[in-house]
Amino acid sequence: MSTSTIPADAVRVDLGPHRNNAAFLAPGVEPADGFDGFGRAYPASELGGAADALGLPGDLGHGVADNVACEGQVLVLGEPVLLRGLDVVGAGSGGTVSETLLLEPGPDGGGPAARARVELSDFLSRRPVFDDTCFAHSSFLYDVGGRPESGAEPRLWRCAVRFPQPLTCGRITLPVNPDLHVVGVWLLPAPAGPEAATNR
Amino acid sequence: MTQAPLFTDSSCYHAAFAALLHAAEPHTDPFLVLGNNAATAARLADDGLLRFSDPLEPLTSTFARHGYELRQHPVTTREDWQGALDALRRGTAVAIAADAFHLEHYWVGYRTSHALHVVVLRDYDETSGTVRLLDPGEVVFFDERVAVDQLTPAMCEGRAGQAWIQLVAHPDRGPARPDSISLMSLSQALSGTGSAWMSGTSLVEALHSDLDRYLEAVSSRPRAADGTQQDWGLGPWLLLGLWWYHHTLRWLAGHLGTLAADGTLPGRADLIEAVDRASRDLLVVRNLMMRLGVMSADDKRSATFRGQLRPRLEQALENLSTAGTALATLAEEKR
Repeated sequence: MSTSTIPADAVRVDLGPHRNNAAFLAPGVEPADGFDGFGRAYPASELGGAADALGLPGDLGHGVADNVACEGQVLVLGEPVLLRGLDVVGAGSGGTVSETLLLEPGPDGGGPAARARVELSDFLSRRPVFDDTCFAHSSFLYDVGGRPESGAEPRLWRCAVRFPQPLTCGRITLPVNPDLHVVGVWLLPAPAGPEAATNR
Repeated sequence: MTQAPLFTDSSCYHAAFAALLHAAEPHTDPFLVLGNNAATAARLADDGLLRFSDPLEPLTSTFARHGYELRQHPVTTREDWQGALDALRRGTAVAIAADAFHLEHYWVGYRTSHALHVVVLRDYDETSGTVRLLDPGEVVFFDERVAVDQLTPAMCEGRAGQAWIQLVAHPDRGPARPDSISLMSLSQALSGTGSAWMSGTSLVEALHSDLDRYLEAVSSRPRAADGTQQDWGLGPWLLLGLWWYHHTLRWLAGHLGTLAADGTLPGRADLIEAVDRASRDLLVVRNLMMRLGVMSADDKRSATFRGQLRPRLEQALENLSTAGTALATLAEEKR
């Protein structure tokens, strides 16, 4: 297992209410959908400290939802935040994914929206296909039926999105693409100052 | 065991042929050759529905444009397979299109699917009866020696369309650079009207207009290892054809990026972006159709996923059209 560093001032978004897919599996547990809908899963025991960093549930791998398979969910932030960027940890399934998140200034939508391109390699890619970096790495895969497969090494990838100018974000709308699995999202606050944000 | 591959790709055809090209000419950028292709490999059959050809057909044409022959040798008997071993004995690296069901290293399809999978063989060792098997696939990367006997069932059992393929460089070939004709050819393949295969925009329009019939074909397709790739009907071929076409577009975007980077073509970020986005949207359409094919009718996500198909197709149509127009403009400028 290895992790790349999330900036120290980053604030993790609570994905708990939106998780809808179980992509991690503990030993001896009946497989659920897994990453790809066929039960292929990331071994929960291989995640180590990354599970805490991601704020994943304590009973990870026992069938509980642990990631957001994107179906257009709306992540409403507690209050609008001035951002300099986003970090997204997750993976694609059925190929690599390149999608757009919609960032709106108010929690109820409306106002000028900004778009953030999130690109993540496939959970089974052996190297990053985009500018993403490896966040976590397992030495084996739980294949269909929960069968350990040493020929595959699933990974979680981290995509760092940085905005050319700070922007205000009150809510984030995910795309409709269930092959984009979001496991963690961090907001990177911009320093408050005179260069107040205008979303564009 | 973690391995550090130099090159991998999620298309086994592109990955294997790039490796074959690298074995013959290490300094040739595979994107310059394999990416110079925008063929859908699709036609409309008499029933008005799409049919896809094997990607070997357009890739053979692509290699020919660059002065290489991708020489294909069908394998239906052990004698046919012997031809590949003879080539390996002579020191020639070859690609094989093998029945995945019998490929032990290929955990994705081993004992579950009779789809063809393409890998590279080289360095035959007569003494040990082994050969180096390179599978540069992104999720299965494998580079080890295997017993030749272990490959015999994958090549000789059943009628899955197995073949071995060698790359032959014509001695008088020179570097192929994009000219007006080749750029116009790519433009036509993306958004034109007539060529060996239907254009990308025609393919997307066909999908859009008969979406319900295609969804039905995908949902009623047989599962698992039923039949070989040669026996598959519309549903499995549609998923396979869209998978290949998205790779074709992905490699075309890489090809255009390489040409822009070396100054051969003017940098057209909008063109490359349009090709890449079309590739991405068509992959999403293909994957959503596959998901819809196994979802129960009362699954509340069905409507969400179905509702995503037409906008994605329309976006792909727009991007293919944009890219076709941009390439036609570049072709005019080269004239």
